[in-house]
Amino acid sequence: MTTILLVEDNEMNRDMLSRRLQRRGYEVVTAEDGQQAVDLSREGGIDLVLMDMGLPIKDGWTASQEIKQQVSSALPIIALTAHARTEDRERALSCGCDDYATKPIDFPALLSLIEQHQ
Amino acid sequence: MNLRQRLTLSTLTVLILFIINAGMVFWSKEIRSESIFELRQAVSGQFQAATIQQNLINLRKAVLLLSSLRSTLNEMLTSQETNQALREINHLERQLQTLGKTVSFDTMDHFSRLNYEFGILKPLWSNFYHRYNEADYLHYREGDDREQAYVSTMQELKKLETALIKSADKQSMNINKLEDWTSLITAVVLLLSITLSIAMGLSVLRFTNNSLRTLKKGANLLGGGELDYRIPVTSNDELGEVAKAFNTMSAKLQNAITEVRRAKESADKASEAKSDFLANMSHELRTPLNAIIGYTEILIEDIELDDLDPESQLQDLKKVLDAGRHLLTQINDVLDFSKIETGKMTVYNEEFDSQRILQDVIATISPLAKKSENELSFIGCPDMPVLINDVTKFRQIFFNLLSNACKFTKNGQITLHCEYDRTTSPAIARFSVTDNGIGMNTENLERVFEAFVQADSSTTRRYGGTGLGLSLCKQYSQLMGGRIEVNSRVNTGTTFCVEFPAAPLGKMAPQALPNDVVSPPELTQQVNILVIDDDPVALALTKRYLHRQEYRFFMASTGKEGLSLAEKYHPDVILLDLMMPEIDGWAVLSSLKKNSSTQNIPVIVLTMLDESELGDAIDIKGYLRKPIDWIQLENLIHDILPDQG
Repeated sequence: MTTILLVEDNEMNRDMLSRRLQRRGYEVVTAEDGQQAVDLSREGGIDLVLMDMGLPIKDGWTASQEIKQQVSSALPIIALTAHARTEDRERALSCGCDDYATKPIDFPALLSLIEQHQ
Repeated sequence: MNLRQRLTLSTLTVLILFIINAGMVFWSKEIRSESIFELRQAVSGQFQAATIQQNLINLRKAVLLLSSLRSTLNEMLTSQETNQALREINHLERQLQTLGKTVSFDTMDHFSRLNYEFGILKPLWSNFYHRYNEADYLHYREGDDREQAYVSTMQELKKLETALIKSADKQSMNINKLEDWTSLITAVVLLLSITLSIAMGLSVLRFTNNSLRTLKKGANLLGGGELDYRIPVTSNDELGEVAKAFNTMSAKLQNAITEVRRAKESADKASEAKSDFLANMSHELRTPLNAIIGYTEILIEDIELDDLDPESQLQDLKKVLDAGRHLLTQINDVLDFSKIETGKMTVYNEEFDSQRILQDVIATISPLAKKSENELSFIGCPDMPVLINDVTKFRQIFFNLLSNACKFTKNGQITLHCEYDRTTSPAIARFSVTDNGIGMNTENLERVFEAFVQADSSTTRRYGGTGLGLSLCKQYSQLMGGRIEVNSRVNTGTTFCVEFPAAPLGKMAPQALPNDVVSPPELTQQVNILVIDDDPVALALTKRYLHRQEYRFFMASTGKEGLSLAEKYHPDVILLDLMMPEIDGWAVLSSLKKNSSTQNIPVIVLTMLDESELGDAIDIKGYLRKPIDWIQLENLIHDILPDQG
């Protein structure tokens, strides 16, 4: 079973996304900020990370970079953010994220992204 | 010397030369005609002298002949012959006198001597004829005195002739000389004129060329972008003036271009700010939309999977509702903000009881406070006078401040404190919102009222909001003639203090106020409400709300139906949608106001559009933007029908 680490500070979005992913048979681990995300990924057992960018304590860009550099460069990270401009997308990719999805989330598209990268 | 002076001088010089020339010609003509006259006199004198000489010779011949005839033949003269001879002598004398008229200064002496000699000769000859027939007639002899007088006369006449010839020669020479001089002077004057004209022309040409070259250089440099180039001003002449004018023009041009550049920069900045604003808004709108779409999809999946748990579904629906409301607040904030930005926000002043309004706000906010486990308290001010200000904005300021406090405080204490300060002039109504939440550092405090700024970027994620709320509070306070201040310490809490001028009107707030949490105002239920709205969904929603609140209500889906129901039932309040087919809300409103039986019924207008200003102008009691905020509607009904409360 694929385990997804969902990093999202907004409670509603976290709840909503984790429930929908669980319904599709994924195991979901959640983190509320960037630091938690780095710590959890270090513990292992994570197959893919869905990372919000604007996070408290440590933002998504920094967290993604640390995971890629310190934990595993092979762990796929998909950035999720409400910033919809091209430069936001480029910034996420330059921090090591493998792909990018814009909020509001197009769920079928997100699923196919997950399948692509797992 | 400037150009005008140069031109004037050269013109004057040429004019003077011309006058000299003209005078010269005139003078030489005078002199010449005088000389010619004298020449003519001299020539005429010569002719006359020659005639006189001939006559003298003839008369002498006659005398000599008669004398020899008298001595040889002793012939006598008739008296006629004597008279004839005497007439001839007299004639000669007259000729001599005529000649005397022609003499000039040079020949005067010669003529006088001739006249003198002839004066001796004439009586001798006259006497010869008178005595010719007489016995004592004197015969001509050797050395006769008559012959001597004749010879002397003849000599003087010849001298005069010579003098006359000399005089004529002299005049003729004078004329020639004069002509030579005149020609010479004319030539000199002409030459001088030409030289001067050329010199002046060249000088003017050089001056103009210099000016034009300097101007051209300046214009080229200016055109090439050297806006700070100035033509050096070295003189006070026309070039100097042109240079000054050019420099003034350059300075003005430079200023204008600087202005334009500045305007462009500020326009660029404004455009950048707009673009940031849009990016920010896009972000802020996407976040609640993400929840709305996501939860709605979950609910649809629940139904499709037949996984129906009513409790869980209710929770999900509440989340959708929350996110939707949040979105609406954001949209309203943005609209208000843009109104302020474009200067279209107006202040509608009316009398209101600040204490009652604040109690309403507390009631509205209390669910939010409860959610973050905060204790919300209200410390009223019993002697607070009625304020004259914009009540809607007043309400919104404290709604924003309180909801902000709830957002940044968990499990704490939030207090709204009112104070009427009479120690200042004018008196001040002071309201402060204090929390013991996370607080802010100095740096964040300075930027807290700027648009789109929250303490740090992660705050937005954690606490939500557009970052416009506090900015709106500040703008509103200023529009309302008041001010807002903030004090904060990290991890200790924050206090926002708002002050408005309060003119004491002798009116006090109508009731004493409890210093504690206030529950929302309740209305008795015997209120009749007429709803006029063409949208069946909106009508159904309103109907559900009114039903839940146990109001009595009548529904009309067209303006026409609404008018007839209004007349028939005389409702206490009419809720009127503005956008309707056939008869629209405005038409219904004016018909209601025209009819004496319905004109006093209070009307609340419902609309999708922001037409609050129109609403202010027309006699309506309130205005709600769709989707309707039910709490706001409740407050409005309560405002309109306080007696029912």
